[in-house]
Parts: sequence; structure tokens; C-alpha cells
Amino acid sequence: MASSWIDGDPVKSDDIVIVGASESENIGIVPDVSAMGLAIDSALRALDDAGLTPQDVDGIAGTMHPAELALQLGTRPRYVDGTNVGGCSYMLHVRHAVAALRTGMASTVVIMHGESGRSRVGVPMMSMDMTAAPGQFERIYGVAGTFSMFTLPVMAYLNKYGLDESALAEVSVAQSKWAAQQPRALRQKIVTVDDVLNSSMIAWPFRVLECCPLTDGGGSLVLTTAARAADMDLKFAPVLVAGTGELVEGAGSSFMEDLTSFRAFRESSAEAFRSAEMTVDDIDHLMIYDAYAHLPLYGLEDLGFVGKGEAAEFIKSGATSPGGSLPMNTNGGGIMYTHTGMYGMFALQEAVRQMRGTSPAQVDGVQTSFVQGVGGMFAAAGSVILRKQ
Amino acid sequence: MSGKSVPSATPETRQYWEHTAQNEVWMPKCEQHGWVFPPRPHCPTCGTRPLAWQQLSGKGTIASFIISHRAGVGYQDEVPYFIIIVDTAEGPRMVGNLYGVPVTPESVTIGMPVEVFFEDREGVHVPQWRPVGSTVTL
Repeated sequence: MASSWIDGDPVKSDDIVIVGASESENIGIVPDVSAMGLAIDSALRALDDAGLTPQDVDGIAGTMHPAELALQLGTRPRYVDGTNVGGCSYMLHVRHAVAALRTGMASTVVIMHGESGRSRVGVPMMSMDMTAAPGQFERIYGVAGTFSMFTLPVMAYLNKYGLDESALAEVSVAQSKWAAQQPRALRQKIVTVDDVLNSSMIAWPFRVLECCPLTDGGGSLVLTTAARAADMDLKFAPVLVAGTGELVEGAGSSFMEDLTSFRAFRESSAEAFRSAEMTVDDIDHLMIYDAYAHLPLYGLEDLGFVGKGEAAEFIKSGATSPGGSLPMNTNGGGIMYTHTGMYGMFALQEAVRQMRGTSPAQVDGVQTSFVQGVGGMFAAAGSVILRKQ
Repeated sequence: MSGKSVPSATPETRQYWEHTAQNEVWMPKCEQHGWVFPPRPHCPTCGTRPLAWQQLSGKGTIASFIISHRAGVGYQDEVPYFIIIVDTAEGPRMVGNLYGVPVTPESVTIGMPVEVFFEDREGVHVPQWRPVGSTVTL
């Protein structure tokens, strides 16, 4: 096993702030806007938070074609980041933007997401690379979607800790209590363990209420230096990017080092804590990317909030629910709120809302938020720690 | 003809599929760092290349599984069906389907011994799994 990358100086980011953050006007089912249209709509709204226009933008990031993004937004960026490692790419974009802003490669970076996952408006033909390792050695076995591959390691996890199907159901139950407070959530109904276990089977042990729905939506962030932010006419107090981390483990859920713990979660989060000079005790609010209900279980343990095998009981106890000690996935998560395909941007948006004090499910007194993303199917991870200024 | 996906070999993986055509599982192995899967022409730990290929026993145990209730390409007539991860006796993990038991969660335990057999897809032999002692074929 290769040793950890965690040595040397961390990427410090105590002077980079988020001055703009917005989702597209509509999310969920949006058949009248293209994927690009959703991205640009959210970018203009995020820029408006800071009184900026496209002409003020000299850095862009996104998973869509960067040159097309630049043209559509109307900027000629001198900094471009097209990193695409799946749904956590936006966490990596934040981390890279911090480095770019600190070194003067850019002064104002816009990170954009737009996806028409449900309505498929303005979406290029999907091409699955069947010659890549997952194509040759996983997908040929009747993998119908991410729900039958991303989920595959879960029984190793449940078996190791003597857990049953209800451990997954409790994740959806807890998150539904947050979603009920979110008017923009696709699924807003509070559900019980029985509701979840009786919902239609997708890939045993996963029921439909433990799987993300497919939706449309956009979201953007605007980052700049604290010094520049001080001269801007901001609608909301800037939110500090206190720490970041990333790790790529490699494509394919069967190729992960340990089926019961995700190395990329462990190392990207450790780097974020280290660069923020924080520990789990400093975190008031948590977002863990939940394309499927097992991810918050892996995440809570791999980030160090609970011990190995303790996440299910922690969630069942109400600790992550409204009124609990560690509010988690307060937008309802990808499973309840929205999941365009690459959900990471929406986890970041909710974290910014909590720091601004503007979430419909606002938690009183939160000063810090940890946002953990996953990309591909246990392929990559990105972490961002935000702090209220 | 089921219409299941036929693996697309690359020059770097062709030997794997040439060996499965003989109903055998072979993988590259680094003398220092062990088996390399998915197959690559070099050792991902030390970079040594080329690597010699060696045969695996075709035995293993179930490391994890799901039961898919949605059909993947060509699996329309098999729903629901197992997708499993196998810890081979030699170590490398392989994905496959499990045949020869009723398709229920109760049929499978983590650690259950399985052995490989081969499914012919347009002349390409795809490794599949069944309980040790089962004679099920496709």
C-alpha cells in the first residue's frame, strides 16, 4: 500500500472567500432550459451577489467544456480549470481556485455547474467507454446504472459491522426531516423506516428512497481574495474557504482499496482539516455527498466524526437530524433535495447558505461547515471547509 | 442471443481475454508486488514492465453483492440478478454475476465459496461465478 500523501506544507487558504453563490432560478424538473442555460443562469445570479458582471471574471471552472463555458458566460479567462472527476469536481475546483487566487493567476473565479439530468435538454450523447477498466471488467455484468455499481461494496460494510438494511433506511429518514423544511426539495415528505423499506426495490438492499432521483439544475460560486471582497458591494457577508483537500483513488468501485472504507474520503478530509487547522470538534455543520444512502455512513466514519461501524447508530440516534449535535445534509441531501448527476455543487450551495444564515432549514449558531464530495463510483473525493467571517 | 455487452479488449488487456477463451483466468503478476488487476502492462507499485502472466485457481469467496432489479444491457430476461464482488483465492477482486442459487438475499453470505465458469458472448468467454460444487452453466 502506498503511503499517504499527507506531508509537506498544506495549501493554506485563510484569505480566500466566497462572495457569490446561487443555484439556478429553478431546479428539479426544468424542461425549458438547457444544461448550459442552467449553468449560466446560476453564474449570473452568483455574480449579482457581489455586484459583478461577466466582464469582471478572469477565471472559470466547470465540468462542461471550458471554452464553451467562457463563450457562453462572456469572458476571456486567464485561468481555466476543467477538472472532471465526477460529482465532487466542484470541491476540487474550489481548492484549485484557492491556489490560483493566492498566486495571482486569477482575481475572480466563477465555478459553474449546469446539468439537465432529467429532461436531457442540450445534453451531448452519452458515450460509455467500454474499453476502460470499468467497461471491460465491471459494466459487462449487467450494470444498469450507478445504482448497481456504486452500491456494490455496501454488503461488505454492513456485514463487517453486523448491520442490516435498516441502517440505510435510517439515512433517508433523517434526511427527509431536513427536506421537509426545504421548499425546493424534489422529495419533501417525511418518511419512516417502513416507508423506505417498502418503496420499490432498485438494487437490493437499495430501495428507490435510498437512491438519488435524477433532476435538472445549475449552481455557481464566485471566489476572490478577502482584500478584493472588502471593496465589493456584497449582498451577503463573505464566507471564508478555511481548508480544502482532494484525492483520486481510481475508477471502479470494485477496485477500491478497502470495500468498507473509502481512502479518498479519509485523505481528502484529513488534508482539509490540516489546512484549516481544525479538527472534527470544530465543525458545526456537515454535508456528505449522498448519491446513495451508504455514502453518509462511510463518510461519517472516514472523516472521523464517529468510530468505525458507528455511523448507523449515530444517524439513528437523531444526531444528524434537526435538533441533533451534528446537523448533516440539511438540504435533504442528493437523495431528497436534487441530484442532477454531479451533485457536489448543491452540497456546496447549502453549506454557503448555512454560513450566510439563509437556508430554509437554517441551523442556529453554525460557524463552520464541512463539505465532503465523492466523484465517480468511489473514484475521487474533494473536501471543503467553510467558515463564517 | 441475449445482447449482453461483449468486452472490448485493448492491446494491453488482450491476453486476459485470450486466456478466458481457454476457460482460464490469468493476470499479470509482479515478482515483488503481486497480482495486477485490472490488467496493466506494468506494476502500479514499482513500474516494472513487462510483467509475466500467471494463472489463477478460479476459486474465491463472495466479498459483496447486490441484487439488480433493473436490467443492464442484455439482462432483460434475468431480472432480478446478482452482481457480486469476488475475492479470488489469490487476492485480486473480480466483479461478476452469481448463478446456481435462488436470487434472494438469503441465498448468499459474505465469505461464501464460489468458483469460476465461463459465459460465451459472441466467442468471447466472460468469467462468471457459481457456488463450489454447482454445475450450472450459461
